[in-house]
Amino acid sequence: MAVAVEMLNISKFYPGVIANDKVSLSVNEGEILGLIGENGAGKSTMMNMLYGMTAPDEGVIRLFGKEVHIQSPNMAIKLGIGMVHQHFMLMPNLSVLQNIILGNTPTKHGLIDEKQAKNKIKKIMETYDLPVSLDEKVYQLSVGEKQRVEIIKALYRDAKILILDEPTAVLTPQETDKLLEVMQELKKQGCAIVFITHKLREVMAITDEIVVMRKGVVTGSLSTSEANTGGLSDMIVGRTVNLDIPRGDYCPGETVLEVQNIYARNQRGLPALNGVNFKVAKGEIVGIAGVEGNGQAELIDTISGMIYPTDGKIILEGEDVTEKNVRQRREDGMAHIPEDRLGMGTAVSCSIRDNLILNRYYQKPYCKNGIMNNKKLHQLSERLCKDFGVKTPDSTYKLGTLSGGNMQKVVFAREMEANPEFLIAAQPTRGVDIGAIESIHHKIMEVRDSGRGVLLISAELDEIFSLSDRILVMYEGEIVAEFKRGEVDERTIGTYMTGAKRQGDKNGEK
Amino acid sequence: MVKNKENSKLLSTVGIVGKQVSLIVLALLLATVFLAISGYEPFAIIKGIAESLTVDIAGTIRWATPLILSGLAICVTYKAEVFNLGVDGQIYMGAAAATAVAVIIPESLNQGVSVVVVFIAAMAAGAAFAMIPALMKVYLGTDEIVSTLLLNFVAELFVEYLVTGPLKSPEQNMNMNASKVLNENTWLPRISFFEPSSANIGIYIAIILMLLLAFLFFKTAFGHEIKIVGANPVLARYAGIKPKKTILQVMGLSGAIGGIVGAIEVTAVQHRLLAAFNPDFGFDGIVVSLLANNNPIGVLFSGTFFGALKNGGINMERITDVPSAITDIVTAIIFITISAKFVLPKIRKLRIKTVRAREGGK
Amino acid sequence: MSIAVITDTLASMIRMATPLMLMALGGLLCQRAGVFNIALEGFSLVGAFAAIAVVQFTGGSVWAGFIGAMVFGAVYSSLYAVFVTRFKANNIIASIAMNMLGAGLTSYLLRTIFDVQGAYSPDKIQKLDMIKIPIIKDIPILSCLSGQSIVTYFAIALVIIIYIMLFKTKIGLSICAVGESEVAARTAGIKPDLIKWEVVLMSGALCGLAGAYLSTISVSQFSEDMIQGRGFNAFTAFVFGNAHPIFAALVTLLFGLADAIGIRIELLGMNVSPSIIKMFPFMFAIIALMTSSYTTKLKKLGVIGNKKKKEKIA
Repeated sequence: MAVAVEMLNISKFYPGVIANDKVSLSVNEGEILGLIGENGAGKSTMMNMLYGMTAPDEGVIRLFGKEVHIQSPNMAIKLGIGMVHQHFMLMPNLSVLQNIILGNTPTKHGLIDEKQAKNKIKKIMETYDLPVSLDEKVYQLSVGEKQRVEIIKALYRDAKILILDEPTAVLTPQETDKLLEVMQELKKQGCAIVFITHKLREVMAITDEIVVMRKGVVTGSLSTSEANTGGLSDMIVGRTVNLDIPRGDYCPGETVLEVQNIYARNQRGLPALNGVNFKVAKGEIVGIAGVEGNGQAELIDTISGMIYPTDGKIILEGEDVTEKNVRQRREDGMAHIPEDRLGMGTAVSCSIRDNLILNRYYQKPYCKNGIMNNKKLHQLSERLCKDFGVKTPDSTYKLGTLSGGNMQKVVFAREMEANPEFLIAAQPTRGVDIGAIESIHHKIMEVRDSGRGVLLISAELDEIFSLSDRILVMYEGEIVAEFKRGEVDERTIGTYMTGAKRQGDKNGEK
Repeated sequence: MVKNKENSKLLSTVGIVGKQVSLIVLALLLATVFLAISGYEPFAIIKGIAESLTVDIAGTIRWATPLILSGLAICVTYKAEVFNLGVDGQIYMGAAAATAVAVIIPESLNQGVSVVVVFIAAMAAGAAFAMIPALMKVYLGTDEIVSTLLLNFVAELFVEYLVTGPLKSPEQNMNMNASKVLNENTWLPRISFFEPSSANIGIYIAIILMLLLAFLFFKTAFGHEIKIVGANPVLARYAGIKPKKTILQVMGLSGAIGGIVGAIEVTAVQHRLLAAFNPDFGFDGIVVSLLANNNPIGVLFSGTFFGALKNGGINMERITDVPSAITDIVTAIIFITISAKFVLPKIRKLRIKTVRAREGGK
Repeated sequence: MSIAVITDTLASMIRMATPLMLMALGGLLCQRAGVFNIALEGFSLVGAFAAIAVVQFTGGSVWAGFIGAMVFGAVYSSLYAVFVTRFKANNIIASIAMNMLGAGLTSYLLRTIFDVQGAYSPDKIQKLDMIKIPIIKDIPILSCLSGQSIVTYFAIALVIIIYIMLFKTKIGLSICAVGESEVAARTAGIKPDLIKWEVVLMSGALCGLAGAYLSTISVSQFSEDMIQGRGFNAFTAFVFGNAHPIFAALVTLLFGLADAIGIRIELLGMNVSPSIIKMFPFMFAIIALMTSSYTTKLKKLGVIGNKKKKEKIA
């Protein structure tokens, strides 16, 4: 087998940061390379350089033995490189066909030749078993379908080298299996594949070679046959990680939140919640599993008061809060760690202090008659930075200067400072590295152990399993199953997540 | 440590001011080259500004007053990330209301009371006119940029209608469209020291408003809410702030300030309502505010600079034959360069090298 | 109303709509490529001035004026393109600055080159003959289509050409892709900055021609405030027309109608203030803007449209 890609001694510097320091890797034709490491380890930067999105400051890239200087994605495409990005690079309002042929459009008499394009795409779809409807607009597709479009897009340009950047992060276990099958097929046809992921199980299942990166350098390079998951995770973090969170005894107290038969619509006005019922008790973590887009976002918004349900009731500590607004609910003891840290949880352009004081700036003793006591607010924010270990010299610095993990600490500090009885934690570890995941999980567990209620919404089944006392599965705006901790495995949950199965009494206790 | 921090804050302020000043210098240099090429006295505009800041302070104050106020009107909304491009319309409406009220106030009424009544009417009219795009934005999702631009024309034409119709001056043989001259008891006093210039006590109003806004922004809970709504409206909603309400409030405030500008122009400068009296103070206000980094205290300085520029241009046109339009060109150059994010690749390369050196040294 | 009056009103509607149509086409190209361009006003003003200047220096050639206006319109718009691409300028601020600069420059040059203030008419101008279309010119009402200037027919042809370009060709696909997502377009091998340059230059040339139409065909002079908000109306027109060339062109016709009715009211000597009549197109634009944002909102809320999606979920 010939060497398809060689990246030798690649370095990349950003102001103040070394993203990659003399990193080398190579992939053969018909081989799958697993590239693993924490967020910010430099994996994506390496691949962006291979795909011409940015240029390396040092080092050599060779394709099929020839040295190349890849200056643009266009050039990378011409050299036979295809990339499926972690965030899909698709135009939602264009059709699937338009998305695929963009940048490589066959023409006849100056007009787009749709027929020719369709023929070629159909052949690819048959060969690799990748069915998608070509005339639909992309925004109408499911996540799995969008990913298929991305793969077809690469193959349509005759990619010989395929980069898959965390492709399974958004997929259900079943969809993941399907993707792995497609990858096997591609491998058989002689494609060289770079597979970026942080799920060790997948790496062990499908790759031939593994490269581990940490903080911009390679910390391990080995054959999959020689690897084991324990060793890999040590290489990833640089120390032994314990993802088993110690937990106190499960002794649920009185109900803190009760959701009674709520219905709600999403932003597009379509029904998103269809009669959801559940309770959260003090001293327990209730995890909601489900493929994204099945009403989780609307459920969070309804509970927190960002949107009002069209029907049903929300009861917080025995009091009906359905008609209350966000601020009243917060004052009644609700806290919320939002899913979208940058989009909803923080203001990047404001100072750390401005972000920290959001629950307090208008209340006594921090504010009297609408005039803020800046000194007291400053003391508050400095104390929170210290207590929650936010790494910054001073809370007047812009929030944007912090790392993802530190930003999450700011959100956590703000929400916990109000001493809530009930906490909504939505995707609390998305985009933070393994080390920080550990500490966030510990914090959430502390909240539970101190006798407060937690509602955990996560797309990561691992997270749901390691934290929850009870697990609810959401599908198409309904709770379709409920399990106690330890009485179910990931695969079973998966069948409920995809709607293949549902418990007879959809909301009842088992 | 603390001292270091203060030093670094001072440094960053100096840096910002330095950058803005360099934009002004760049624009003035370009204008000088422009004048030289077209065969005028090259340093005319620079001389004009210099004179405005020394011998003709009165003229500068006359022009700086509406510019500072317009700048404040813009910076109020800009903080909340709302683009009120309709300050000009709000000025016209304020002026119209001021005139309409001033003509019915009896001549016998005390001057202080009359002026206050006139100004309240102007502020209400400006705020009400600003509510149109604000309500459209909040309830229909209409982009305020285009709606405010269109409403400017409506307001300008409305004033034209008033002075050719209901408020038309009864004087015969007048070759301009204007209302009658207002009774003296409705005039906002001019500053006697600067007579015969039309520099008026509107400048004090501007300074007081500037201080009030600075207090509002930096010291009050409402100011914090404006900041959060501007920085991230979703965060605002999540934290229990109502962005829609905040947007209506800042637009109302902005419109009221616009109304004050209109009232000053009518009651202190022209003493009557004139068609098309407003030389786009509202648009200039955008540059004033941007050059001040949307900081009310900075607006005082940048407004004064643009006042001096405008006054200098007018003086130059009178004395030499340099067209005063050159000042619009200078303003536009400052305007467009402010909008740019200058990416200097060389500096980036340099930084990379220093990082390398630093890491290497470890 | 007699047929003659109707025909006449429609003909003046088309005349008034022509410059708006050209500006709106330029604007919608920018919109499709994700460039927020409210500098149409400034581009057109520069075009109007360039046309008169070129007419003056070529001894009265309106054709030269057209070409000059398009060239100078494009050259002027390239400044905007530089700021939008190279300097990543805030589009709104940069385009307002371009309007201001356009007003300042033309006023300055009017003084410097022609030594007049306010307005200037060239010494000689060879007015173009209006084009009479056989057969159509004799059909009642439809005859409003005949007897228009060459620029009008060119504008109508452009509506079709730009429609085909946007939806049937490679470049059109690239333009729409850049507007949808710049990053995604770049990964597909498209250079977003290049596309932005293209659309901004096209809008510059189109606005230039629109300005030339106003200064050499509507009247025979340049005056400082001659665009009178038409650029903003054109912007509203394509927003209301969903950035679709044909719909946008139809909306500009409605704007033209608002103008034409105003003229008609004035001609009939009705007792309505001309200032109020001049407000018509702006009032109309504001109503159009409200309607379009309201329908967008309804669409977003799923009250109208989105049929397919609805069925899928339910």
